Amino acid sequence: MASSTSGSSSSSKVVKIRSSDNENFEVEEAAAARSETIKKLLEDVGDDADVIPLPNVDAKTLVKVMEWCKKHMDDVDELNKEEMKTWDAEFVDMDQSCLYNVLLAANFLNIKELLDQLTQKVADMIKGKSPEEIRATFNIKNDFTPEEEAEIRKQNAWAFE
Amino acid sequence: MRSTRKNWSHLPHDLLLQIAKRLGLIDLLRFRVVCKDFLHASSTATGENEVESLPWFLAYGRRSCECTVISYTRGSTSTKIHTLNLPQLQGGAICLGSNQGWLLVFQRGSMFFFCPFSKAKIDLPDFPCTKLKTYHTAAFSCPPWSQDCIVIVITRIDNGHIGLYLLNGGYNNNNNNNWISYKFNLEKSQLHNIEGGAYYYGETFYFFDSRGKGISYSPTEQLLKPYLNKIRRVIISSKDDQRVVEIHPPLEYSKETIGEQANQEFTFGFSSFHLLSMNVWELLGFQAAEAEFSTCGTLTQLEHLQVGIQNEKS
Repeated sequence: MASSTSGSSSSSKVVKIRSSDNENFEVEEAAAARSETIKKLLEDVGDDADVIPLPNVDAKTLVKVMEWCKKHMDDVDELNKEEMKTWDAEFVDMDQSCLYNVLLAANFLNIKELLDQLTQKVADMIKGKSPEEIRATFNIKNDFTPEEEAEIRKQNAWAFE
Repeated sequence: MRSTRKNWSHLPHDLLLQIAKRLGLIDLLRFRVVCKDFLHASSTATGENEVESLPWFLAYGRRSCECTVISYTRGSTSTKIHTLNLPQLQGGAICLGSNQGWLLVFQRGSMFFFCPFSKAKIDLPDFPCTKLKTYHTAAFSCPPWSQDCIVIVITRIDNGHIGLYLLNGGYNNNNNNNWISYKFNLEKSQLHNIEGGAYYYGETFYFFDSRGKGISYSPTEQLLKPYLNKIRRVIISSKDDQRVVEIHPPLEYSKETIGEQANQEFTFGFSSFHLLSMNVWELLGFQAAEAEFSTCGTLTQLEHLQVGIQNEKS
């Protein structure tokens, strides 16, 4: 249960990573190295590495991130670009709590392409909504005083018509 | 099962900024009202990435600080009219150029960049002329906060010469750059006053006179090239846009193709009568004949073609 072994390619090197809730995973190095943070850690510890601890990412989120990394392990050729686009679109279409965690994980693990896809997804969720709708969608508390909010709205009142 | 809803205002500010930078202008302004974290994190986002929209039109009056903005969205028939209070443009402001939401403004002897939506104002070093007696037009290479920003103002000095004023560095003017003045020989019979407009595209500045003849200037080569050939008119059609664009043969330098009807290869075109086709005067509530006007054009993209929208004058 606690570990997932990587798939078919037997020759590729495998690294071990550990989530914040102490689950260990074995991942192909080429997939894990999509994360600049893991790549750097691997370079620092060399072959002596036993398990790389990732104290900011829980197991559920790590599984999700590694799913992306595995899919994006190899360079995509022209033929597969469309297929990959569809896969990416389905990947970012996750529940909000999950999206939040994966976004933070992608930031911590420094995976630029994934971060681009996730921030675009959040931006798409914001587009066309009023401030009230954005607050409701993302469970955000309005911490402006009524006066402060009125002042900011006044500066660009036309945008709220 | 316990609700695990997250508080998105607690995201690190650099992540919030990355999200904000993907929003268009109106969405960004709304984003900033959500909460304090969203407001502070997004201060450097500019809402400039609205590739889907046609250029907007800002009309400012001489006496009142009330300005009108007309916004268009490509593919939608709705045109929106908004009112803005911009005291910064009151009192003899002349807009010489515009690019990506920024205006280059000359007012009572000083030159500055101005963003009508954030109200950000960026002062530039003293311009060599304290009054603009003749027609001046300008272009800048990118938003002013970039240190790569190059500003060029161009004018006809006399019957035999064109004057060109160049400023490097934009906002990050750490080297205390000043305006550099150049004078080029070019007869008025070849090129009139440069009233058509100034544009920056592909590391080159383009300037056009009222008859649609043009010159280009490359800052890296410091080279001015006249393009005085005959204009060819082409109809550009895209899904929801159709207009006549004038093509300057010497500017056809790329292999991009647009539209089936055009059947030509070019990347830079030049569009006149933009205001007329956009019904601007009707939207502002009067007929063109009732008022004198002059407008400052900009650069837009139609399919793969860069189109300079001409400065217009009644």
